[in-house]
Amino acid sequence: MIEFSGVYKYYDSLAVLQNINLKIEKGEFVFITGPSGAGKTTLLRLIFGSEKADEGEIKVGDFVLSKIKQSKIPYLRRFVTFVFQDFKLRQDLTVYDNVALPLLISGQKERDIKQKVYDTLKNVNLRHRADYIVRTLSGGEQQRVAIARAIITNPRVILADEPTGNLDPDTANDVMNLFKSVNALGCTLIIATHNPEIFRNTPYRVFHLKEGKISQ
Amino acid sequence: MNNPVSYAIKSLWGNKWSSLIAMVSIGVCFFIITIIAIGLYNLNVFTKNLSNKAALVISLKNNTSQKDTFQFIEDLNKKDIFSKIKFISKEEALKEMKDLVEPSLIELIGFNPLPDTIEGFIKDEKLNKLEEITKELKNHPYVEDVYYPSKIIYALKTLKITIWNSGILVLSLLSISILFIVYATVKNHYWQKEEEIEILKLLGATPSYIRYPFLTEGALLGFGGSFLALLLIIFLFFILYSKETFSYIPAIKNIILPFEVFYLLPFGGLLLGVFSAFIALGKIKYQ
Repeated sequence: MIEFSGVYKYYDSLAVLQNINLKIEKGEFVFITGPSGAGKTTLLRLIFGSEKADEGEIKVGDFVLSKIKQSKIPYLRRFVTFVFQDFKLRQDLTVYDNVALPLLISGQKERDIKQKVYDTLKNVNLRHRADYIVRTLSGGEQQRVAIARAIITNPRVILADEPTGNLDPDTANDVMNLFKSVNALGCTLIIATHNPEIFRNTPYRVFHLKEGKISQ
Repeated sequence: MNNPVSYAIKSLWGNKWSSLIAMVSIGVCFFIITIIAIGLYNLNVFTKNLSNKAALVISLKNNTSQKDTFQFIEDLNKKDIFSKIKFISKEEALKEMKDLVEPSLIELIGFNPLPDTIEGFIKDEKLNKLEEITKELKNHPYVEDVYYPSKIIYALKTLKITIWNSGILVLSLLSISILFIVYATVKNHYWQKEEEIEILKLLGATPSYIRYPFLTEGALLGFGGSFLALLLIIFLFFILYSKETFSYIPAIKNIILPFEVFYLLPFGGLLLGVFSAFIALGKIKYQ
């Protein structure tokens, strides 16, 4: 599903990622850990097509990211979705509108969208908040809106960057359970975190990033 | 953002003053462009008509008999040089002159000084042989002299080319001005929505999905401006054609408003608006 072969990424002359070789199978749940500045976000951004590797090759499904054209990136981003640390939600829109946005972008019809949005909001326990403006919600609720928006199109891969970073332990636990339920449906999940509580005693694979180098 | 037209209208309405100023500026530019274009069109029609109306004026010698004159006209007709030949007797010429000059002045002379004349309207394809024809006619025994307003026509044609070139230059500059107005307005609206657009890119929006509302904005600005210009043009011509206005300059009523203006102007505005917006957006980058 996702394969890194000898990937390097530099910012100016600083090597942020060095010789990354990584293979993640379809339906896996994987943690990328490491201290701040280790390159976790950069690694996720490479998979999401936000940045290009300076050396090596990255494959995501059928997308070869070293050769990907700009015009193909939107389609990669329908295959792989991202739950951002700062949520990247439209603060001026309602929960419903935010969650419906990826469906509108992919050209689905209004009547199909409505049912899907309400079903997804129900899954993340936000059905009762559908008409609320996003900026009036708590951090945990906004995180769940971001997750709902990421899962509504049934992507093959979900990336999450520090998804519990701004949440209290109970809410963080709820969010992780939500990710596990999404993974149970066959979606590949890659979570970048520096919080050891999240991946302690986990049955899933954990990759450690330190000074741009990866180990398992 | 699913309905680009309503999104574009909302965006323009959200910046209503800057949009209004942009649209009025575009309208003024289109108005000037159209006035210049109509002017060039009419100049073209005028010079074309002038060439058609330009006639060789052949003054006949005083002693030419009526029989010889008609024979001469018949000979000219056979030559296939003129599209139309008109004989003006010296009496008719004097009558025409009395309409132009104070009759008492003519009476002072005491006799009719005007000769019998023949007006020959030269065929377009023979215009290049004008000098040759004139020379040949001057040598004819019945002919006193031959006049042709060639210098005036040449000067008018030169003037026409100069006006055309200047007009085209002004048209180009004004079109570029419109392009910049739409460019700046759309670019400004694009920057205002940068965060929103970034989110759309992250959610897999294609470049065309992102562009549509802004192209529609450009189209609305261009169309709105050109429509405004069209209304001004209609109003202007309504005044020009109305009976009371400019009654002292009857030639004003000869100015033609080509029908093409009614569809070319709004369509041109729309196209220029879309094109300018497209340039303003540039390439949508994801990396």
